[in-house]
Amino acid sequence: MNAIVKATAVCDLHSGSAIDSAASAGLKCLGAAGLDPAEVNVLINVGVYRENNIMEPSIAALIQQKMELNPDPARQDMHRRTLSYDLVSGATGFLNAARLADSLMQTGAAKSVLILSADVHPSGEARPDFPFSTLGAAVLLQASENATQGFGPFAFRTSASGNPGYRSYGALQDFGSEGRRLAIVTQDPGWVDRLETFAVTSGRAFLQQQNIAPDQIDLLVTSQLQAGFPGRLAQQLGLKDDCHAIDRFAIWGDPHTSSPGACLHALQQSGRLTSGKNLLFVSVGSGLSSACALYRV
Amino acid sequence: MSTPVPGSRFESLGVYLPEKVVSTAELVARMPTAPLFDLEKLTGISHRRWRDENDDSHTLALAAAQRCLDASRLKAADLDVLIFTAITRFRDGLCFCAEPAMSLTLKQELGFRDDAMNFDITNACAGMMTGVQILDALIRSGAVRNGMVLSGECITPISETALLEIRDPIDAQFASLTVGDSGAAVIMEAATADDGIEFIDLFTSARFADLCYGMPSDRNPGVAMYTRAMEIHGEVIQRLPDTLGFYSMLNGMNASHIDAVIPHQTSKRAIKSALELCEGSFGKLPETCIALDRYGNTSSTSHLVVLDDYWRQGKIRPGDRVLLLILASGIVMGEAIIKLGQMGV
Repeated sequence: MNAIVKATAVCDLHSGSAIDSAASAGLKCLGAAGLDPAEVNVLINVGVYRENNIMEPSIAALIQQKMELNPDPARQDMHRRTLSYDLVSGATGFLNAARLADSLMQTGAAKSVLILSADVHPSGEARPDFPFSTLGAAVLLQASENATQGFGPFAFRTSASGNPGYRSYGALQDFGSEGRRLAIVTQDPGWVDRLETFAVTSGRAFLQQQNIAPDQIDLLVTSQLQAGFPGRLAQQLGLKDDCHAIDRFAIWGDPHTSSPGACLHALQQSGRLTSGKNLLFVSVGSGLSSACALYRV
Repeated sequence: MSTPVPGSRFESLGVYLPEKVVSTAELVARMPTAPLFDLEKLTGISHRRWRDENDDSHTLALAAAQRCLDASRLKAADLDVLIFTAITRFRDGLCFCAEPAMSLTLKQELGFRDDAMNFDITNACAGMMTGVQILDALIRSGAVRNGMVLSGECITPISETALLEIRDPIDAQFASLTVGDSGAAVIMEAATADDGIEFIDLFTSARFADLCYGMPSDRNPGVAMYTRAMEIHGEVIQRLPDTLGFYSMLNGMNASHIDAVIPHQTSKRAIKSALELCEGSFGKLPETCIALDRYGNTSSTSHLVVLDDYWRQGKIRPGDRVLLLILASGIVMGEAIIKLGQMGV
């Protein structure tokens, strides 16, 4: 059993709440799949930035509450229960979660895994110093017995330099009583250039190590760092001319952890996710860190 | 990618507890108004460990990870994944880290390979056991051969906020006075014929997701936790018997199969009453392992801190089957049944 994409959805309402955005996308996604919400075994939130800088409980639990997914199994039906947690790994969070979902399905531990994301500034406001746009994204993965479809292989990598290039944190001592509303974001000069180089290195190594010829790739989903970035990456990886590298920066800006899910949704909406296509994921972010995966539609 | 295997086991364990000891009496003496109840009597917590001024989640985790590696047959470069699982994500003092992931910096400092996976999981006090369940699935599926689940909980800053802000005799911050700082790490690998994780399941009763919040204070610098303890005890604990009874039906095991039970370390009284409630559906449990009297509630590390403590005392030994009871904000409930073999500590 391996993980396949059953349905996708996005939510572009700007409520200032990562919980609301992700929950709305999640409900739309389950509706699109025609899946009874009670059938979701695992809910993984990969969003990083949340209102009020909430640290506990998991944002995933608050999303689950909003979505009313198996809210009280011990008083309803213990056979229908959902485990929710946050997977925090910045831009690579979605592919880490997909890796977990695939393992859970291979071992029979889960049949349906919902991966959700949305990032908001902790104040809930649109702030010029916050580099990401708020976009809720949802991807429902389900177990399939068709071995010719689904995720895999995956590869994860971090640079050895020790310079993460991008940092974000809450300096609670300095924030005084404003700790719920503030975040500090720093980006080194040339950060996007460094990421581009790292994306190229990681993508090339992945294709080589997995013996995947670049001309086998039909679709590229990568980080939405700036307009033109996906096309440049496709070119530098030597992907074929008609490979579609999805670039929605002009419409969305950078939706950060929602980029893979939202790009998948855009591909599905445009009818490009047709059977037999090979989709390459390359996500890059702070660390530097990268995640690559092949998905066979 | 390696080969799928039937199960995973605890290969080695590392726990770090800071040296500084703070008594409940000292904390109560620092409160502007004395509580209406005897906090030590109510919780059974007489002491907890307290971070040094240079400690944060990162340093506590680093110390635990190094102890775990010292006790292991494996080196950091042999490990395929690092999963960081703390609630508190403090690095460089009280700086709450969003990116890069805590696991990324720790992975580099500990000497993991660049191509090892790393990610952070947050799931309140169930973080480490969620990490254990995830790593078990990754190992069993053959995605990785082995890995480390790691936490550093620099959680006493919530106690400091509570000391400043508690005014009400039933204040939502009283539970913040029960916590203690710690770090814990476990290295897992493919199980042997004689040991391994025999059962693990967690789920979220999200109806109760808003009963306990941790977030920055809106009155002072620092972080606070707000707990509706009465509702947790009144509602959530009542669901434990059905939960354990259901698991017993799934895995065919009850109290008679268990050598020791490690509950999440909230308070002695709450643990005793919860386990008594479960006797009907699960049977009378054997030795209940408690270390909260000395370490307090160490949040996500609690089960491993207790396992380390009892292992060192020889009260839990190779061959024992332990039941870990999981309870956390969310509300996350669950259990793990682990047959322990030779384990580096």
